[in-house]
Amino acid sequence: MTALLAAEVLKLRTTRLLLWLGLILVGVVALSVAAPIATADEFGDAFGQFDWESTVVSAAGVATLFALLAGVLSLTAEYRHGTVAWTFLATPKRERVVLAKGIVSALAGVGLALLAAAVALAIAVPWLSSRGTPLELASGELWRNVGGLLVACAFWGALGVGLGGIVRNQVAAVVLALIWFPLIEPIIGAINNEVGRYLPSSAVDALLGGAATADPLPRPAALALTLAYVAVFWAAGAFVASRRDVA
Amino acid sequence: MIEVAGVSKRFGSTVAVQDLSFRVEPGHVTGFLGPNGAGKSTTLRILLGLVRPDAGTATVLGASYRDLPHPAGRVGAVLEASSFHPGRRGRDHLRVVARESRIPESRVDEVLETVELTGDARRRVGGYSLGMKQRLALAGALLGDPEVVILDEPANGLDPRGMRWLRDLLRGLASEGRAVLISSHVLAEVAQTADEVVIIDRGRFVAHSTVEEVVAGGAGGVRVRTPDAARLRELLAAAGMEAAAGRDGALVVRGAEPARVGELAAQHGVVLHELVAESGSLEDVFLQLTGDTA
Repeated sequence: MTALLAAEVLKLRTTRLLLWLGLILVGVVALSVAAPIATADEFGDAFGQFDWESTVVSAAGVATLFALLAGVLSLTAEYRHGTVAWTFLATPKRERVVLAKGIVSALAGVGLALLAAAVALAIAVPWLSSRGTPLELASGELWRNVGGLLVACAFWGALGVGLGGIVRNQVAAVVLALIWFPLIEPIIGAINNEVGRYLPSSAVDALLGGAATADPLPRPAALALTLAYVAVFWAAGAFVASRRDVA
Repeated sequence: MIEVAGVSKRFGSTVAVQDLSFRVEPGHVTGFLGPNGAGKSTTLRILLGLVRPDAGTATVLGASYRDLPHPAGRVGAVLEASSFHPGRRGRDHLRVVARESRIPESRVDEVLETVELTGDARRRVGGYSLGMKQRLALAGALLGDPEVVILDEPANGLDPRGMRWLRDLLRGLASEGRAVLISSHVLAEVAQTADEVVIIDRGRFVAHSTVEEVVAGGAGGVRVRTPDAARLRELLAAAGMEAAAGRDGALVVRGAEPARVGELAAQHGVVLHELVAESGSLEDVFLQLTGDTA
Protein backbone atom coordinates (compact mmCIF):
# COMPACT_ATOMS: atom_id res chain seq x y z
CA MET A 1 0.00 0.00 0.00
CA THR A 2 2.93 2.33 0.73
CA ALA A 3 4.12 1.96 -2.88
CA LEU A 4 0.63 2.69 -4.16
CA LEU A 5 0.30 5.80 -2.00
CA ALA A 6 3.72 6.99 -3.16
CA ALA A 7 2.72 6.38 -6.78
CA GLU A 8 -0.50 8.37 -6.36
CA VAL A 9 1.43 11.25 -4.79
CA LEU A 10 3.88 11.13 -7.69
CA LYS A 11 0.98 11.20 -10.18
CA LEU A 12 -0.29 14.42 -8.58
CA ARG A 13 3.16 15.96 -8.53
CA THR A 14 3.92 15.21 -12.18
CA THR A 15 0.93 16.95 -13.75
CA ARG A 16 -0.09 20.57 -13.41
CA LEU A 17 -3.60 19.84 -12.09
CA LEU A 18 -2.87 20.75 -8.47
CA LEU A 19 -0.88 23.79 -9.56
CA TRP A 20 -3.87 25.13 -11.52
CA LEU A 21 -6.36 24.26 -8.81
CA GLY A 22 -4.10 26.01 -6.29
CA LEU A 23 -3.65 29.13 -8.40
CA ILE A 24 -7.37 29.54 -9.06
CA LEU A 25 -8.12 28.82 -5.42
CA VAL A 26 -5.72 31.58 -4.31
CA GLY A 27 -7.49 34.07 -6.59
CA VAL A 28 -10.99 33.13 -5.49
CA VAL A 29 -10.11 33.15 -1.79
CA ALA A 30 -8.33 36.50 -2.10
CA LEU A 31 -11.47 38.04 -3.64
CA SER A 32 -13.84 36.46 -1.12
CA VAL A 33 -11.74 37.75 1.80
CA ALA A 34 -11.16 41.20 0.37
CA ALA A 35 -14.82 41.87 -0.48
CA PRO A 36 -16.31 41.81 3.07
CA ILE A 37 -13.36 43.70 4.59
CA ALA A 38 -13.44 46.38 1.91
CA THR A 39 -17.18 46.95 2.32
CA ALA A 40 -17.31 46.74 6.13
CA ASP A 41 -18.07 50.13 7.71
CA GLU A 42 -17.40 51.65 11.10
CA PHE A 43 -21.08 51.57 11.93
CA GLY A 44 -20.96 47.79 11.77
CA ASP A 45 -17.81 47.75 13.86
CA ALA A 46 -19.46 49.85 16.55
CA PHE A 47 -22.38 47.48 16.84
CA GLY A 48 -20.20 44.38 16.73
CA GLN A 49 -21.84 43.14 13.54
CA PHE A 50 -18.72 41.44 12.26
CA ASP A 51 -17.44 38.10 13.46
CA TRP A 52 -14.17 38.23 11.56
CA GLU A 53 -12.84 34.97 13.04
CA SER A 54 -15.62 33.16 11.25
CA THR A 55 -15.99 35.41 8.17
CA VAL A 56 -12.33 35.12 7.20
CA VAL A 57 -12.33 31.33 7.42
CA SER A 58 -15.63 30.99 5.54
CA ALA A 59 -14.05 32.93 2.70
CA ALA A 60 -11.53 30.09 2.50
CA GLY A 61 -14.42 27.59 2.56
CA VAL A 62 -14.54 27.49 -1.25
CA ALA A 63 -11.55 25.16 -0.88
CA THR A 64 -14.05 22.34 -0.22
CA LEU A 65 -15.20 22.54 -3.87
CA PHE A 66 -11.60 22.38 -5.09
CA ALA A 67 -10.94 19.37 -2.86
CA LEU A 68 -14.04 17.66 -4.25
CA LEU A 69 -12.83 18.42 -7.78
CA ALA A 70 -9.35 17.02 -7.08
CA GLY A 71 -10.95 13.84 -5.73
CA VAL A 72 -13.31 13.39 -8.69
CA LEU A 73 -10.51 13.96 -11.21
CA SER A 74 -8.19 11.46 -9.54
CA LEU A 75 -9.82 8.49 -11.24
CA THR A 76 -11.84 10.09 -14.05
CA ALA A 77 -8.74 11.77 -15.53
CA GLU A 78 -7.10 8.35 -15.73
CA TYR A 79 -10.07 6.99 -17.66
CA ARG A 80 -10.05 10.04 -19.89
CA HIS A 81 -6.36 9.79 -20.81
CA GLY A 82 -6.18 5.99 -20.82
CA THR A 83 -3.56 5.85 -18.08
CA VAL A 84 -6.03 3.74 -16.13
CA ALA A 85 -4.81 0.70 -18.11
CA TRP A 86 -1.27 1.20 -16.77
CA THR A 87 -2.67 1.68 -13.28
CA PHE A 88 -4.77 -1.48 -13.32
CA LEU A 89 -1.99 -3.50 -14.98
CA ALA A 90 0.28 -2.57 -12.08
CA THR A 91 -2.46 -3.17 -9.51
CA PRO A 92 -5.13 -5.54 -10.81
CA LYS A 93 -6.90 -5.47 -7.45
CA ARG A 94 -8.63 -2.23 -8.29
CA GLU A 95 -10.13 -1.63 -4.84
CA ARG A 96 -6.58 -1.01 -3.63
CA VAL A 97 -6.21 1.72 -6.25
CA VAL A 98 -9.46 3.36 -5.11
CA LEU A 99 -8.31 3.21 -1.47
CA ALA A 100 -4.89 4.70 -2.26
CA LYS A 101 -6.47 7.45 -4.36
CA GLY A 102 -9.00 8.14 -1.61
CA ILE A 103 -6.29 8.60 1.01
CA VAL A 104 -4.07 10.73 -1.24
CA SER A 105 -7.01 12.88 -2.38
CA ALA A 106 -7.97 13.47 1.26
CA LEU A 107 -4.42 14.68 1.85
CA ALA A 108 -4.58 16.84 -1.28
CA GLY A 109 -7.80 18.30 0.14
CA VAL A 110 -5.99 19.15 3.38
CA GLY A 111 -3.23 20.80 1.35
CA LEU A 112 -5.76 22.93 -0.57
CA ALA A 113 -7.46 23.87 2.73
CA LEU A 114 -4.13 24.95 4.24
CA LEU A 115 -3.37 27.03 1.16
CA ALA A 116 -6.80 28.70 1.26
CA ALA A 117 -6.55 29.41 4.99
CA ALA A 118 -3.03 30.80 4.60
CA VAL A 119 -4.12 33.16 1.81
CA ALA A 120 -7.18 34.30 3.76
CA LEU A 121 -5.12 35.01 6.88
CA ALA A 122 -2.27 36.64 4.97
CA ILE A 123 -4.74 39.16 3.57
CA ALA A 124 -7.03 39.55 6.56
CA VAL A 125 -4.51 39.83 9.43
CA PRO A 126 -2.63 42.96 8.29
CA TRP A 127 -5.70 44.57 6.71
CA LEU A 128 -7.95 44.11 9.74
CA SER A 129 -5.34 45.34 12.18
CA SER A 130 -4.68 48.40 10.04
CA ARG A 131 -8.38 49.32 10.23
CA GLY A 132 -8.31 48.81 13.99
CA THR A 133 -10.33 45.57 14.23
CA PRO A 134 -7.55 42.98 14.49
CA LEU A 135 -8.28 39.28 14.27
CA GLU A 136 -8.07 37.55 17.62
CA LEU A 137 -5.29 35.19 16.70
CA ALA A 138 -5.21 33.79 20.21
CA SER A 139 -8.88 32.88 20.12
CA GLY A 140 -9.85 29.26 19.91
CA GLU A 141 -12.69 30.08 17.51
CA LEU A 142 -10.43 31.05 14.62
CA TRP A 143 -8.33 27.90 14.80
CA ARG A 144 -11.32 25.66 15.38
CA ASN A 145 -12.76 27.06 12.16
CA VAL A 146 -9.49 26.46 10.30
CA GLY A 147 -9.34 22.91 11.68
CA GLY A 148 -12.92 22.36 10.54
CA LEU A 149 -12.00 23.48 7.03
CA LEU A 150 -9.16 20.94 6.92
CA VAL A 151 -11.50 18.14 7.99
CA ALA A 152 -14.14 19.16 5.45
CA CYS A 153 -11.65 19.30 2.58
CA ALA A 154 -10.24 15.89 3.49
CA PHE A 155 -13.80 14.56 3.49
CA TRP A 156 -14.68 15.99 0.06
CA GLY A 157 -11.40 14.87 -1.50
CA ALA A 158 -12.01 11.33 -0.27
CA LEU A 159 -15.68 11.29 -1.31
CA GLY A 160 -14.83 12.58 -4.79
CA VAL A 161 -12.67 9.55 -5.54
CA GLY A 162 -15.57 7.21 -4.83
CA LEU A 163 -17.86 9.29 -7.03
CA GLY A 164 -15.26 9.19 -9.84
CA GLY A 165 -15.19 5.41 -9.53
CA ILE A 166 -18.96 5.22 -9.96
CA VAL A 167 -19.26 7.82 -12.75
CA ARG A 168 -16.14 7.43 -14.83
CA ASN A 169 -17.04 10.05 -17.46
CA GLN A 170 -15.04 13.06 -16.35
CA VAL A 171 -17.42 15.79 -17.47
CA ALA A 172 -20.47 13.98 -16.10
CA ALA A 173 -18.76 13.31 -12.76
CA VAL A 174 -17.56 16.90 -12.33
CA VAL A 175 -20.91 18.42 -13.28
CA LEU A 176 -22.78 16.00 -11.03
CA ALA A 177 -20.49 16.71 -8.08
CA LEU A 178 -20.56 20.48 -8.43
CA ILE A 179 -24.34 20.62 -8.90
CA TRP A 180 -25.45 18.00 -6.43
CA PHE A 181 -23.49 18.81 -3.27
CA PRO A 182 -23.43 22.62 -3.19
CA LEU A 183 -26.76 23.28 -4.97
CA ILE A 184 -29.23 20.39 -4.82
CA GLU A 185 -28.54 19.28 -1.26
CA PRO A 186 -29.32 22.68 0.28
CA ILE A 187 -32.56 22.75 -1.73
CA ILE A 188 -33.52 19.32 -0.42
CA GLY A 189 -32.68 20.57 3.08
CA ALA A 190 -34.91 23.59 2.58
CA ILE A 191 -37.82 21.45 1.40
CA ASN A 192 -37.48 18.72 3.98
CA ASN A 193 -34.81 19.10 6.62
CA GLU A 194 -35.57 15.68 8.12
CA VAL A 195 -33.95 14.28 4.98
CA GLY A 196 -31.60 17.19 4.33
CA ARG A 197 -29.78 17.03 7.64
CA TYR A 198 -28.57 13.52 6.83
CA LEU A 199 -27.10 14.41 3.41
CA PRO A 200 -23.29 14.60 3.03
CA SER A 201 -23.01 18.41 3.00
CA SER A 202 -25.12 18.78 6.12
CA ALA A 203 -23.38 15.91 7.87
CA VAL A 204 -19.93 17.42 7.38
CA ASP A 205 -21.29 20.85 8.31
CA ALA A 206 -22.74 19.41 11.52
CA LEU A 207 -19.36 17.89 12.30
CA LEU A 208 -17.87 21.38 12.11
CA GLY A 209 -20.50 23.00 14.32
CA GLY A 210 -23.50 23.15 12.03
CA ALA A 211 -23.41 26.86 11.14
CA ALA A 212 -25.03 26.29 7.74
CA THR A 213 -27.57 23.63 8.73
CA ALA A 214 -30.89 24.01 10.46
CA ASP A 215 -31.15 21.58 13.36
CA PRO A 216 -27.76 19.93 12.72
CA LEU A 217 -26.98 16.43 13.92
CA PRO A 218 -25.01 16.11 17.18
CA ARG A 219 -21.23 15.90 16.57
CA PRO A 220 -20.74 12.16 17.35
CA ALA A 221 -23.58 11.22 14.99
CA ALA A 222 -22.22 13.60 12.35
CA LEU A 223 -18.76 12.04 12.65
CA ALA A 224 -20.16 8.52 12.27
CA LEU A 225 -22.27 9.60 9.29
CA THR A 226 -19.43 11.34 7.42
CA LEU A 227 -17.15 8.33 7.88
CA ALA A 228 -19.98 6.10 6.69
CA TYR A 229 -20.43 8.27 3.59
CA VAL A 230 -16.73 7.97 2.74
CA ALA A 231 -16.84 4.21 3.28
CA VAL A 232 -19.97 3.78 1.14
CA PHE A 233 -18.64 5.94 -1.72
CA TRP A 234 -15.30 4.13 -1.70
CA ALA A 235 -16.94 0.72 -1.60
CA ALA A 236 -19.34 1.61 -4.43
CA GLY A 237 -16.55 3.19 -6.50
CA ALA A 238 -14.29 0.16 -5.99
CA PHE A 239 -17.13 -2.24 -6.81
CA VAL A 240 -18.07 -0.48 -10.04
CA ALA A 241 -14.46 0.11 -11.13
CA SER A 242 -13.56 -3.54 -10.49
CA ARG A 243 -16.40 -4.88 -12.60
CA ARG A 244 -16.14 -2.40 -15.43
CA ASP A 245 -14.13 -3.51 -18.47
CA VAL A 246 -11.24 -1.27 -19.45
CA ALA A 247 -11.80 -1.37 -23.19
CA MET B 1 3.41 -19.36 -20.77
CA ILE B 2 0.25 -17.84 -22.21
CA GLU B 3 -2.86 -19.94 -22.48
CA VAL B 4 -6.23 -18.87 -23.77
CA ALA B 5 -8.87 -21.58 -23.32
CA GLY B 6 -12.41 -21.34 -24.63
CA VAL B 7 -12.64 -17.59 -24.15
CA SER B 8 -15.80 -15.80 -25.24
CA LYS B 9 -16.78 -12.18 -24.81
CA ARG B 10 -19.63 -10.11 -26.12
CA PHE B 11 -20.21 -6.38 -25.78
CA GLY B 12 -23.94 -5.84 -25.89
CA SER B 13 -25.11 -7.69 -28.99
CA THR B 14 -21.65 -7.67 -30.62
CA VAL B 15 -19.68 -10.88 -30.29
CA ALA B 16 -16.04 -9.82 -29.83
CA VAL B 17 -14.46 -13.22 -29.13
CA GLN B 18 -16.05 -16.63 -29.61
CA ASP B 19 -14.69 -19.80 -27.97
CA LEU B 20 -11.07 -18.87 -28.68
CA SER B 21 -8.19 -21.12 -27.60
CA PHE B 22 -4.45 -20.99 -28.23
CA ARG B 23 -1.12 -21.29 -26.42
CA VAL B 24 2.05 -19.24 -26.67
CA GLU B 25 5.36 -20.79 -25.65
CA PRO B 26 8.49 -18.99 -24.38
CA GLY B 27 11.43 -18.34 -26.68
CA HIS B 28 9.24 -17.41 -29.64
CA VAL B 29 7.79 -14.30 -31.12
CA THR B 30 4.18 -15.12 -31.84
CA GLY B 31 2.18 -12.88 -34.14
CA PHE B 32 -1.48 -12.44 -33.28
CA LEU B 33 -3.18 -11.63 -36.55
CA GLY B 34 -6.59 -10.70 -37.73
CA PRO B 35 -8.38 -7.94 -39.63
CA ASN B 36 -9.49 -4.85 -37.75
CA GLY B 37 -12.31 -5.76 -35.41
CA ALA B 38 -11.35 -9.44 -35.30
CA GLY B 39 -11.16 -9.38 -31.48
CA LYS B 40 -7.39 -9.13 -31.04
CA SER B 41 -7.41 -6.24 -28.60
CA THR B 42 -10.25 -7.72 -26.60
CA THR B 43 -8.39 -11.02 -26.30
CA LEU B 44 -5.22 -9.26 -25.13
CA ARG B 45 -7.19 -7.19 -22.62
CA ILE B 46 -8.82 -10.34 -21.28
CA LEU B 47 -5.36 -11.89 -20.97
CA LEU B 48 -4.24 -8.87 -18.94
CA GLY B 49 -7.21 -8.82 -16.60
CA LEU B 50 -8.61 -5.55 -17.95
CA VAL B 51 -11.69 -7.15 -19.48
CA ARG B 52 -13.67 -10.00 -17.92
CA PRO B 53 -14.46 -12.86 -20.30
CA ASP B 54 -18.04 -14.17 -20.36
CA ALA B 55 -16.67 -17.72 -20.58
CA GLY B 56 -13.34 -19.50 -20.61
CA THR B 57 -10.03 -18.75 -18.93
CA ALA B 58 -6.94 -16.82 -19.93
CA THR B 59 -3.75 -17.39 -17.98
CA VAL B 60 -0.26 -15.94 -18.06
CA LEU B 61 2.61 -17.71 -16.30
CA GLY B 62 0.16 -20.28 -15.00
CA ALA B 63 -2.33 -17.98 -13.30
CA SER B 64 -4.92 -15.44 -14.27
CA TYR B 65 -3.29 -12.01 -14.46
CA ARG B 66 -5.35 -10.64 -11.59
CA ASP B 67 -4.01 -13.40 -9.33
CA LEU B 68 -0.33 -12.84 -10.11
CA PRO B 69 1.50 -11.09 -7.29
CA HIS B 70 3.15 -7.91 -8.66
CA PRO B 71 2.21 -8.86 -12.25
CA ALA B 72 3.75 -5.78 -13.90
CA GLY B 73 7.17 -7.05 -12.87
CA ARG B 74 6.69 -10.30 -14.80
CA VAL B 75 4.39 -9.38 -17.67
CA GLY B 76 5.04 -6.31 -19.81
CA ALA B 77 2.24 -4.96 -21.96
CA VAL B 78 1.55 -2.18 -24.42
CA LEU B 79 -2.07 -1.52 -25.24
CA GLU B 80 -2.65 1.79 -26.99
CA ALA B 81 -0.26 4.43 -28.17
CA SER B 82 -2.28 7.22 -26.69
CA SER B 83 -2.57 6.10 -23.10
CA PHE B 84 -0.55 8.82 -21.47
CA HIS B 85 -1.38 11.98 -19.60
CA PRO B 86 -0.36 14.67 -22.11
CA GLY B 87 0.84 17.00 -19.37
CA ARG B 88 3.19 14.48 -17.79
CA ARG B 89 6.81 14.20 -18.87
CA GLY B 90 7.83 10.91 -20.49
CA ARG B 91 10.29 10.07 -17.76
CA ASP B 92 7.76 10.90 -15.04
CA HIS B 93 5.26 8.51 -16.64
CA LEU B 94 7.81 5.71 -16.28
CA ARG B 95 8.60 6.76 -12.70
CA VAL B 96 4.90 6.47 -11.85
CA VAL B 97 4.63 3.03 -13.47
CA ALA B 98 7.83 1.87 -11.74
CA ARG B 99 6.61 3.05 -8.37
CA GLU B 100 3.18 1.44 -8.54
CA SER B 101 4.72 -1.78 -9.92
CA ARG B 102 7.40 -1.90 -7.18
CA ILE B 103 10.17 -1.74 -9.76
CA PRO B 104 13.38 0.07 -8.75
CA GLU B 105 13.54 3.59 -10.18
CA SER B 106 17.01 2.91 -11.60
CA ARG B 107 15.28 0.88 -14.34
CA VAL B 108 13.62 4.03 -15.70
CA ASP B 109 16.78 5.44 -17.26
CA GLU B 110 17.82 1.98 -18.46
CA VAL B 111 14.64 1.40 -20.46
CA LEU B 112 14.69 4.96 -21.79
CA GLU B 113 18.13 4.11 -23.16
CA THR B 114 16.82 0.84 -24.61
CA VAL B 115 14.04 2.55 -26.55
CA GLU B 116 16.32 5.44 -27.50
CA LEU B 117 14.16 8.08 -25.87
CA THR B 118 16.63 9.48 -23.36
CA GLY B 119 16.94 12.79 -25.20
CA ASP B 120 13.18 13.47 -25.11
CA ALA B 121 12.48 11.96 -21.70
CA ARG B 122 12.01 15.30 -19.98
CA ARG B 123 9.50 16.65 -22.49
CA ARG B 124 5.76 16.46 -21.87
CA VAL B 125 4.11 13.53 -23.66
CA GLY B 126 1.60 15.88 -25.34
CA GLY B 127 4.41 16.96 -27.66
CA TYR B 128 5.45 13.43 -28.64
CA SER B 129 4.94 11.92 -32.10
CA LEU B 130 3.01 8.67 -32.41
CA GLY B 131 6.30 6.79 -32.85
CA MET B 132 7.73 8.34 -29.69
CA LYS B 133 4.61 7.38 -27.76
CA GLN B 134 5.02 3.81 -29.01
CA ARG B 135 8.58 3.81 -27.74
CA LEU B 136 7.55 5.22 -24.39
CA ALA B 137 4.82 2.59 -24.09
CA LEU B 138 7.35 -0.10 -24.93
CA ALA B 139 9.71 1.31 -22.30
CA GLY B 140 6.88 0.98 -19.78
CA ALA B 141 6.37 -2.64 -20.79
CA LEU B 142 10.07 -3.43 -20.41
CA LEU B 143 10.45 -1.75 -16.99
CA GLY B 144 10.00 -4.93 -15.02
CA ASP B 145 12.36 -7.01 -17.18
CA PRO B 146 9.30 -9.18 -17.95
CA GLU B 147 9.20 -12.88 -18.81
CA VAL B 148 6.16 -12.30 -21.00
CA VAL B 149 5.77 -9.36 -23.39
CA ILE B 150 2.34 -8.60 -24.89
CA LEU B 151 2.11 -5.81 -27.44
CA ASP B 152 -1.02 -4.60 -29.20
CA GLU B 153 -0.19 -3.21 -32.66
CA PRO B 154 3.31 -2.08 -31.66
CA ALA B 155 4.25 -1.20 -35.23
CA ASN B 156 1.59 1.52 -35.57
CA GLY B 157 3.24 4.88 -36.08
CA LEU B 158 6.77 3.55 -36.46
CA ASP B 159 8.82 4.57 -39.48
CA PRO B 160 10.78 1.89 -41.40
CA ARG B 161 13.83 2.46 -39.21
CA GLY B 162 11.68 2.14 -36.11
CA MET B 163 10.14 -1.07 -37.47
CA ARG B 164 13.54 -2.57 -37.96
CA TRP B 165 14.62 -1.51 -34.51
CA LEU B 166 11.46 -3.02 -33.01
CA ARG B 167 12.04 -6.27 -34.90
CA ASP B 168 15.57 -6.60 -33.54
CA LEU B 169 14.40 -5.78 -30.04
CA LEU B 170 11.63 -8.39 -30.08
CA ARG B 171 13.88 -11.06 -31.61
CA GLY B 172 16.40 -10.32 -28.86
CA LEU B 173 13.74 -10.68 -26.16
CA ALA B 174 12.57 -14.01 -27.56
CA SER B 175 16.12 -15.33 -27.88
CA GLU B 176 16.53 -14.69 -24.16
CA GLY B 177 13.73 -17.17 -23.58
CA ARG B 178 10.87 -14.74 -23.09
CA ALA B 179 7.43 -15.20 -24.61
CA VAL B 180 6.54 -12.39 -27.00
CA LEU B 181 3.03 -11.94 -28.35
CA ILE B 182 2.41 -9.10 -30.82
CA SER B 183 -0.85 -8.32 -32.54
CA SER B 184 -1.20 -6.82 -35.97
CA HIS B 185 -3.74 -6.53 -38.76
CA VAL B 186 -0.94 -6.56 -41.35
CA LEU B 187 0.70 -9.95 -41.96
CA ALA B 188 3.74 -8.42 -43.63
CA GLU B 189 4.46 -6.48 -40.45
CA VAL B 190 4.94 -9.57 -38.35
CA ALA B 191 6.14 -12.01 -41.05
CA GLN B 192 9.75 -11.00 -40.58
CA THR B 193 9.57 -10.82 -36.80
CA ALA B 194 7.37 -13.71 -35.73
CA ASP B 195 8.18 -17.42 -35.66
CA GLU B 196 4.56 -18.39 -35.36
CA VAL B 197 1.26 -16.77 -36.01
CA VAL B 198 -2.14 -17.19 -34.45
CA ILE B 199 -4.80 -15.95 -36.85
CA ILE B 200 -8.30 -15.03 -35.79
CA ASP B 201 -11.23 -13.58 -37.65
CA ARG B 202 -14.57 -12.28 -36.36
CA GLY B 203 -13.61 -13.45 -32.88
CA ARG B 204 -12.96 -17.03 -33.96
CA PHE B 205 -9.80 -19.09 -34.26
CA VAL B 206 -8.58 -19.54 -37.85
CA ALA B 207 -5.07 -20.95 -37.76
CA HIS B 208 -1.97 -21.39 -35.63
CA SER B 209 1.17 -22.28 -37.53
CA THR B 210 4.65 -21.14 -38.43
CA VAL B 211 5.06 -18.11 -40.63
CA GLU B 212 6.66 -20.29 -43.34
CA GLU B 213 3.62 -22.53 -43.46
CA VAL B 214 1.29 -19.60 -43.77
CA VAL B 215 3.31 -18.01 -46.52
CA ALA B 216 3.76 -21.34 -48.36
CA GLY B 217 0.02 -21.93 -48.11
CA GLY B 218 -0.58 -19.07 -50.47
CA ALA B 219 -0.82 -19.70 -54.19
CA GLY B 220 2.57 -18.81 -55.66
CA GLY B 221 3.43 -18.59 -59.33
CA VAL B 222 6.04 -17.81 -61.94
CA ARG B 223 6.65 -14.48 -63.62
CA VAL B 224 8.09 -14.87 -67.09
CA ARG B 225 9.12 -12.31 -69.68
CA THR B 226 9.53 -13.13 -73.34
CA PRO B 227 9.40 -11.25 -76.67
CA ASP B 228 7.06 -14.00 -77.88
CA ALA B 229 4.37 -13.84 -75.23
CA ALA B 230 1.49 -15.05 -77.40
CA ARG B 231 3.30 -18.24 -78.43
CA LEU B 232 4.44 -19.06 -74.89
CA ARG B 233 0.91 -18.57 -73.68
CA GLU B 234 -0.37 -21.11 -76.18
CA LEU B 235 2.34 -23.61 -75.22
CA LEU B 236 1.56 -23.17 -71.52
CA ALA B 237 -2.13 -23.62 -72.13
CA ALA B 238 -1.45 -26.82 -74.09
CA ALA B 239 0.57 -28.06 -71.10
CA GLY B 240 -2.32 -27.29 -68.75
CA MET B 241 -0.91 -24.11 -67.20
CA GLU B 242 -2.80 -20.87 -67.39
CA ALA B 243 -0.89 -17.64 -67.93
CA ALA B 244 -2.21 -14.19 -67.30
CA ALA B 245 -0.84 -10.85 -68.41
CA GLY B 246 1.24 -9.28 -65.68
CA ARG B 247 2.83 -5.87 -65.36
CA ASP B 248 5.00 -4.48 -68.20
CA GLY B 249 4.15 -7.25 -70.64
CA ALA B 250 5.24 -10.05 -68.33
CA LEU B 251 3.21 -13.23 -68.01
CA VAL B 252 2.22 -14.61 -64.63
CA VAL B 253 1.66 -18.35 -64.42
CA ARG B 254 -0.31 -19.36 -61.38
CA GLY B 255 0.59 -22.53 -59.49
CA ALA B 256 3.55 -23.35 -61.76
CA GLU B 257 7.17 -24.30 -61.12
CA PRO B 258 9.88 -22.13 -62.80
CA ALA B 259 11.71 -25.26 -63.97
CA ARG B 260 8.64 -26.57 -65.77
CA VAL B 261 8.05 -23.22 -67.55
CA GLY B 262 11.75 -22.95 -68.50
CA GLU B 263 11.86 -26.47 -69.91
CA LEU B 264 8.77 -25.88 -71.95
CA ALA B 265 10.23 -22.70 -73.45
CA ALA B 266 13.57 -24.38 -74.24
CA GLN B 267 11.85 -27.34 -75.94
CA HIS B 268 10.08 -24.97 -78.30
CA GLY B 269 12.91 -22.49 -78.77
CA VAL B 270 11.12 -19.56 -77.10
CA VAL B 271 13.54 -16.87 -75.88
CA LEU B 272 13.11 -15.91 -72.20
CA HIS B 273 14.29 -12.62 -70.76
CA GLU B 274 13.17 -13.28 -67.22
CA LEU B 275 12.00 -16.25 -65.17
CA VAL B 276 11.17 -15.66 -61.52
CA ALA B 277 9.39 -17.68 -58.86
CA GLU B 278 6.88 -15.49 -57.06
CA SER B 279 5.57 -16.28 -53.62
CA GLY B 280 1.95 -15.45 -53.05
CA SER B 281 1.44 -11.98 -51.68
CA LEU B 282 1.22 -12.13 -47.93
CA GLU B 283 -1.96 -10.13 -47.98
CA ASP B 284 -3.51 -12.58 -50.44
CA VAL B 285 -2.72 -15.40 -48.07
CA PHE B 286 -4.08 -13.50 -45.14
CA LEU B 287 -7.30 -12.56 -46.89
CA GLN B 288 -7.67 -16.11 -48.15
CA LEU B 289 -7.34 -17.50 -44.60
CA THR B 290 -9.68 -14.99 -43.06
CA GLY B 291 -12.17 -15.55 -45.83
CA ASP B 292 -12.35 -11.91 -46.83
CA THR B 293 -11.74 -12.61 -50.51
CA ALA B 294 -13.45 -9.57 -51.87
